[in-house]
Parts: sequence; C-alpha cells; structure tokens
Amino acid sequence: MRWELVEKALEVVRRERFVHARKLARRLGINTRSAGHILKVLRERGAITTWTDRRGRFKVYKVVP
Amino acid sequence: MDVYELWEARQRGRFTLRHYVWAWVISARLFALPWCALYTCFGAVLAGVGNPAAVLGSVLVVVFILLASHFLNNYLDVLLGVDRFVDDPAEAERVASTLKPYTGAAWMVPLRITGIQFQRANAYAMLALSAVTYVFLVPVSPATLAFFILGVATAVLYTPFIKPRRLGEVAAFLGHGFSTVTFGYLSQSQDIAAAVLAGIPTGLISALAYSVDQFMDIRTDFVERVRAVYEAWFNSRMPLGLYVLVAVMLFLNVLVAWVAAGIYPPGTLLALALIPLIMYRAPALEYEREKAVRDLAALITFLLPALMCLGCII
Repeated sequence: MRWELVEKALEVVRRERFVHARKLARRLGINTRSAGHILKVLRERGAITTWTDRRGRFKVYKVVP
Repeated sequence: MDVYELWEARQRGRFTLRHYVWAWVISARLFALPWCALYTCFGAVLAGVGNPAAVLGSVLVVVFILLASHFLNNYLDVLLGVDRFVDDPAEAERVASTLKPYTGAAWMVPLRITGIQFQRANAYAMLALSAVTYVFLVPVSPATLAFFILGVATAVLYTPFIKPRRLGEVAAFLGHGFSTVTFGYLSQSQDIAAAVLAGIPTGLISALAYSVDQFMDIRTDFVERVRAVYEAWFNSRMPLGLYVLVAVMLFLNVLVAWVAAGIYPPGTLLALALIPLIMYRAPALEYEREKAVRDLAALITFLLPALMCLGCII
C-alpha cells in the first residue's frame, strides 16, 4: 500500500468519530472496495478499531482518539 | 523531560507549550547534530577555509536536512507499517521500535504524543530552511547543487525507499559521513575529486555506526524488518563489542591509508587517540549495553569528528 494514500486516509479519518468504507470512499473519491482495503490497513496501524462487524454490510470502525 | 512524562501529560490533557518544546527536541534527535555539523566543518577545514560564511551556510544546510530526515522518519515509520499507533508505553515496548539510550523519538507518533501533522510540518519547514540557506549562504555551483540534492534525496528517501530495501548503511554512508564532508569541502573549493575522496572514510565509519544502532532493533523484535549489515554478514553470532572493535580498526586503517596517500593531513591521525577509549567501552556492550552504547555513540558521533577537525586545523 502506498504510504501517501494511507496518510491521506488518516487525515480524513482523524476528522471523524466513526468511519466505514462508503464514507471514506466518498471523502477520497475512490471506490468502496479500495476504501475497505485502506481501512483494514489503518486498523493494522492502530489508528481505528472495529466497532461493529455487520453481516453483508460495511464494517463500522471507531477512530481511536 | 522524557517520552513517558510527555505521554502522561497528553493523557491528562495538560500538554502545554513546554511539552511541545520538549516533544520537538526529542523528535529532532539533536544528538546527531554534532556528528554531521563537525564532519561538514572537517570538509571545509580540509579544503582550507577561505569563506567563513560558506562554512556556516554549509553546516546549517546539513543540519536542516538532517533534522528534516529525522522528522520524516518519525511519522513515515507509522504510515509504512514499521511502527503502529499504540495505547500506552507498555504496548509500545512490545510492538513499536526499541527506545534507544540516546533518543525516544521512535515513540512520539505511535504513542500519539505528537500528531503526524506536527512531524510533517517540521520536516517541510526544515527542508525549506535548508534550501533558503543553501541559496543565500553557500556558493551555488553544479558541484554543490549535486551534493545538496544528494543530501535531500537521502533524507527524503531513507524511510520509504532505502530502509525497506535494507540499505540503511548506504544512507548513513551518504547522508552522515560522505555528503557532509564533501559538501563542506565543495563550499570552499571546486576540486570535486579531492572532495569525493575526503568523504569516503567518514562515510565508512558512519555506515558501521548505523549497524550498531540497528542491532538493538534486530535483537528485540525486527529481524525480518530491519536487517543491517551486521545481521546479514555475521547472523548475530559475533558479539556486538567485537563488531565495534573490528569496525573502528577498519576505519583507522583506512584513515592511515588516506594520510599516507596525502588525501588527509597527518594531523587527522589525532583520531587514533580514540583507540584506548574504544577498547575500554566496546567490551562493556556485553554486560552494560545501554550505558556502553551511549558512550560509544558519543565517541563516534562527537569525539571522532571533533578530533579530525582539530587535527586538520593543527
């Protein structure tokens, strides 16, 4: 994953309390599949944690303050 | 004030201006300033100081680029996944880079003491200052411009490009020892061949010193992540103290060869005064590592460049 993209996503995520792939996709102008992948990376970096894992819907992540 | 106190202040929500100043000081890793500044002075003295303003300018340029590389490293490690955000120092001890005896900068972003924006703004400010200083204080020529670009490229590419390819020693060679001396030399003289030759021994010892620094990360948790020359060549079987002795002796041999070849003046042999101190402190790496690493870092990053400068002057 390109670090510039992670940096941009972190900036977006920092302004929110909760985030999911659709919200990030709209903010960054990318598709939800890529946004979901970026959120996974952000979770690995410790910037967000899984809030609810909903079957068939976007996972909601809580932004760690 | 250390990283733990800063973290507690952040947790309590009492992060004042004083804390920001200390956060800046820790993030900047000021211990490395004499290392690069003195090597730049050494290059200038070696060429013969004819333009003191250019010496000051070249030192400032090098210092600003060095600080930029430190600030970049602090936050890019997290973005690249080398480090990650953590909740407390106990977790940082397990998953983040090892704290070094001489700096706690690696924990500033993972512990959320400072944000990525703070580090990035400082990095860009330092790069801008280095460019301004270069334009106004250092004689602009193709040679100095080439080494200015080399320094900036090394600083910017170290974390995202050089370190992941396990070429940290190359960055330390180019950034700390080679381009500093060469840049200082070229600020006073246009003899490129002499400038390049003058930078090789100092680059060598800087690269070897980097291996010792990285060894501490390798030992704790990052064998796969940050492999240094030491790990690659000796597979960690050689005691670290012995490695330091071998490295310093190699450097001193090169130094003597450079003096014999007439590239360095005989006065630089003053650096041989370091031998008793190295022989006294290197074995201590085996039984009191933190203290010995701190002492050896002071010897290699401050005393050695200072002795070479002094030897060149006398």
